[in-house]
Amino acid sequence: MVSVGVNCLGRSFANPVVLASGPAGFGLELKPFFLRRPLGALTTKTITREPRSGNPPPRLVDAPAGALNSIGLANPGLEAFLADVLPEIRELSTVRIVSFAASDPSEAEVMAGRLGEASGVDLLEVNLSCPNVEGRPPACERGTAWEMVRAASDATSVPLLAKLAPDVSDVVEIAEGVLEAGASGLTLINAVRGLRINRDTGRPALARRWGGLSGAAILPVALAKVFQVREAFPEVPIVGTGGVTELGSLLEMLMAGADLVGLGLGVMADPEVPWKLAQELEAWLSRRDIDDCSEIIGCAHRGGLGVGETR
Amino acid sequence: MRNTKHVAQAATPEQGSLFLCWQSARLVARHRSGSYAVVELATEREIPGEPGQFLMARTECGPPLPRPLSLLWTDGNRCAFLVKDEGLLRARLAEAPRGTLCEVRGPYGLAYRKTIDPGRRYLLVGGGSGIAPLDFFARRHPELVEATVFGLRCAADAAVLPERTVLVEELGQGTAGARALDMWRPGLGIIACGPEAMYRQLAAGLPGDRGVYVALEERMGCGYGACQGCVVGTRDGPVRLCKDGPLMPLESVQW
Repeated sequence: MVSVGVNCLGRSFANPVVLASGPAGFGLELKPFFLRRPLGALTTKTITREPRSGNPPPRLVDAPAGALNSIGLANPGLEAFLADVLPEIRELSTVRIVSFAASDPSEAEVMAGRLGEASGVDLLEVNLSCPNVEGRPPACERGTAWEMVRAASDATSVPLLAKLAPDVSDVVEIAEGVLEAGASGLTLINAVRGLRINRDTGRPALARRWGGLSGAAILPVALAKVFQVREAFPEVPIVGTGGVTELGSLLEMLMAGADLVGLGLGVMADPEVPWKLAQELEAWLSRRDIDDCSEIIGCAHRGGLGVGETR
Repeated sequence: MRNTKHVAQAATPEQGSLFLCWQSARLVARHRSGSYAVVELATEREIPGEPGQFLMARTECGPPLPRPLSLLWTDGNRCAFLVKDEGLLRARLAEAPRGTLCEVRGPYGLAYRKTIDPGRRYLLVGGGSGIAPLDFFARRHPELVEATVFGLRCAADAAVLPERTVLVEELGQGTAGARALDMWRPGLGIIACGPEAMYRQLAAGLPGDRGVYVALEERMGCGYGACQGCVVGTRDGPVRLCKDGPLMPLESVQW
């Protein structure tokens, strides 16, 4: 009997597959799948203090093996989320991670406090790294990230994940800062800043010029960050997110050191894929005679799967 | 987004999840003429689609984001689309040999009949691939249709729909729009699907009469209402075209 369950952050996850913040919205469109089979966790779209209508269209453009998005944290705002959306999410039987973003530490304190005391919020994720809003993301600078996380973690007893950006020179330094400030775990990585030009007009393809690159194209970037941070912090829970679209990349993310694996663009293309991957993971472990998913988590740091060298 | 700002209408278990799941589709027939082709697919499961609804489609070679294709008709396990030979997916469908496999899921979007005022008769004004949902509407709801006014670029393109009268118009000529304005009279509604220039032409030529609807288009991500990729601003607030659209009352469109 294979176990794909994961215990970390003080919670039990039915499997390591997580809906990443963004493409799946609030997960409500995927309710039929939640009713049929278990899923590790759902991360909501990022909530802000005030409602945001998001960026002007076009918000999406193709990229080789992925896409650039420029949604811009469109969301109903904290109060409408608590009143209208959270009651619906509460009905989904999974671990519920609520993602939020704040413009300064005092707002982070309010957001974490209000969300943390609401029923149905199992974990919080502070989004320090959205590439599609004005200003420099807090995750780009250790001091700013530290202040934001300290304010949020002081305001709640709910475990807090900090979602970091790939576009930094030393992700370990930022990770160290947010862990010191009170983060219980890390989500690595957000979309990578990118640009495309419309060849017919000669202008940037997205209305806001920059976008966040996601999809299979960023898998190696995400793996590198997860591997690096896992090496530096062997005990810290990590949600590895970026470019996972099929079983092979899910396995690599676990082996690189992610306890949980987030799916973003993959869900946009195929809404059923998180549930398919959870089943395929179980079948793969069974074929390999591996009893527990935890045996492969971070195995790349322990000399691999313990199988003989093939050459 | 209309009434329930940003909150998705959750699918009930009774509705099932099949419309969210990819299914294999085989290209079984194609009628090509000019830059356009009517492409007929045979699907594993029935597609209960209505005029105005679309399927998301992809092939083995991509694109990374699936593309919406508006239904030209559905009949049990068969469905058809009107595609122009541009873009990776559409060009492939317009040129690939019979028997070629692709994948589709859906249908998505609001059927036109759910958006329009049912107490009127309509002129259906279409240009380019936008003719597809209107042709479907004319077959499915003849009692609601006063006339169709369709435009394509050249005689070869127009021959892609041999059963329809299609006007031939040069870029920027506005022939179909002008014809529609000539035919319009007070009380008559208009459903338009085509380029934005056509909508502007109609808006400029009509009095502020209700009963005019236009289909909007944006690049889509998920197609099922979650990702907010196809959101456009309207006078009634942001709207997800894949779930609350694609048809919008003309008076709510922000140019």
